[in-house]
Amino acid sequence: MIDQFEEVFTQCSGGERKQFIDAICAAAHGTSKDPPCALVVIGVRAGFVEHCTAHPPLEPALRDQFIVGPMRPQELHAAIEAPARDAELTVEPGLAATMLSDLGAVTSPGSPESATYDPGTLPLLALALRETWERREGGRLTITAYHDAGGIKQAVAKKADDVYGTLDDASKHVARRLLEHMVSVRADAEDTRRRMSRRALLAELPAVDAETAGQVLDLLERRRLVTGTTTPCR
Amino acid sequence: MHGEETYNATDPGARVANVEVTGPPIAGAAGALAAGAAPPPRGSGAASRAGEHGRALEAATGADARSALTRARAGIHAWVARAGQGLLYATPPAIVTAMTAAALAPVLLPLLAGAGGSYVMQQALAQLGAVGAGHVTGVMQDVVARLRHEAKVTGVSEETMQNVLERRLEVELAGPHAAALRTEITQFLQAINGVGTTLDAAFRSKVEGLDAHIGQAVRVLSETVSEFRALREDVLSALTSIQGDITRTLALQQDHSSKLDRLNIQLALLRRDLVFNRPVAAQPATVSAAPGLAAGRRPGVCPYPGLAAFSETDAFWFHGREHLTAAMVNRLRARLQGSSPLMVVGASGAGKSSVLRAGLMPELDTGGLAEPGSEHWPREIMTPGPPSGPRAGWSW
Repeated sequence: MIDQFEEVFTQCSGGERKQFIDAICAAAHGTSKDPPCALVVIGVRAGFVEHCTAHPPLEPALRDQFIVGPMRPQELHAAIEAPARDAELTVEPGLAATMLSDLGAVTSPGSPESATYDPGTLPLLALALRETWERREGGRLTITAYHDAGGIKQAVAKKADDVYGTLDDASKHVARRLLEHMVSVRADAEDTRRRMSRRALLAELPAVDAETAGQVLDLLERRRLVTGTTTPCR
Repeated sequence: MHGEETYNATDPGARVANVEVTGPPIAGAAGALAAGAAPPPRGSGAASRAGEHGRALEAATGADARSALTRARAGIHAWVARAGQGLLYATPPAIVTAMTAAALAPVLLPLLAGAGGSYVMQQALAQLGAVGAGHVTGVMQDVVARLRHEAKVTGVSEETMQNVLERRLEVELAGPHAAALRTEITQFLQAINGVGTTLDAAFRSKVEGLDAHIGQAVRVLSETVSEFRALREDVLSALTSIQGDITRTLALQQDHSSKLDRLNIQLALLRRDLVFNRPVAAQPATVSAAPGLAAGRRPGVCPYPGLAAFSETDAFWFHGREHLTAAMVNRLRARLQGSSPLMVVGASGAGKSSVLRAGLMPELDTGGLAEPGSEHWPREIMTPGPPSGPRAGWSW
């Protein structure tokens, strides 16, 4: 399984990209010499489908795309309420409906008919849920806690501001520099996050104090504004 | 003696036929053409039209007309079925000659025992709505005379008859009256819709590419031999008819396959319920390869991952994507014999990573592919980019 396949267009050279695409297609399809040896799943951001069309081996895959669209209202209800049930929490009546309404997934609270909403806003819902949980009141997820967290629209900004606000001036400067370098902004493609080692990130920013940067990254990671996989390298 | 007449088809869908009549005019044939002016139906899927034309011919030329036309077409079908793959190597002239012989053979066969005069031959052709013209009837008479000479009057098979006719036509087509014979053959094939029948038979034969090969052969002849020019239209209308058939067949198949898809998703969901939601008491100590999914309650744990994508270990908390996951497993299962990679596409933040990691992977771990042993297959999750290690970035 190749997750975030779009990174072959942002992280690899043309030669590597072609080799990689040829290899996964051969593994999935088999060649005249070898039978297929793997079931291959690739997850790719919709904005990069156009880039994929430049590669003839991907044509059959493009013809048979599997679309991950928006969740239906009842699915969103399940995503909100079922985990709470399994964690033995109660959800205040109306909270899920409020969240769906804020997401734009229903035309009005309590109305079952679905409306189109931006499918990319699910992370905002997920964050709002977590922040609501952080503010839970004795095993109860409440509408008040949800609003305190900034709701769906403000949860990320509020959280980022909260974390940023705890930093001293030097760290704020470092944080800005770090975050700027963690997105890839290209004229010919959508903006993407960048994945890189801490070492590589810091190497791009020789002027930044490594120790402060390490502390800032640790904090951002702890507060889940940045994801890292293992302990920082020395 | 030449006469030229234009017959306007009564069927609005039929063409206007320009028929050049060569040879002596025959009362019966002319009558048939005047009364049953509509050309015969083409291609398949035109049963009702075939009926109409058959009735028109019957009214004009007697009770045998319909059966004569049916027999001529059956002759073509039998020939294509017999020749099958071999036709892919036949030249354009050979195809048209064989087509003509195949249609004439079943019509000529019952005449073998009769008087065998030119009038009978002309009548036989007239029954088919074709002009009883001199050169084709000449060939027919010759064939009958030869078979009689060889004392083969009974027990001659249609195939033998076709072969003898074919050889005789070949000889004539190399002779001094070749052009006139080609004109007659064109008229005959048009009258019985020989080209359409052949393409229909080729379509049904399931020999891949046979349709296109025969269609191409007739096209080439129609463009290089002036007497065959009219056959071009017949190819075109046959293509329309066959393409219509294919479109209808594909639509039916699609309908059927969406039904199977829906059923398959229901079964995958049921399977999931059976595997993941077994009653707590019934759970053995080693519940499954995906311990993250064992049913039960987990108080005190944060059930929401927040901004991070759901990982495989979060599968227990992953809800709302069961239907999508089931559909995805089915699409992957369809690839077990080798196919393209399954391309899962969605907007940034739509939840691709989560459904792949917390939805699909646990399904595969518990045998969701319905392929014995598949739960133990090795698997790898990777993201293109620099070698792994501590990384920074969003993951959704």
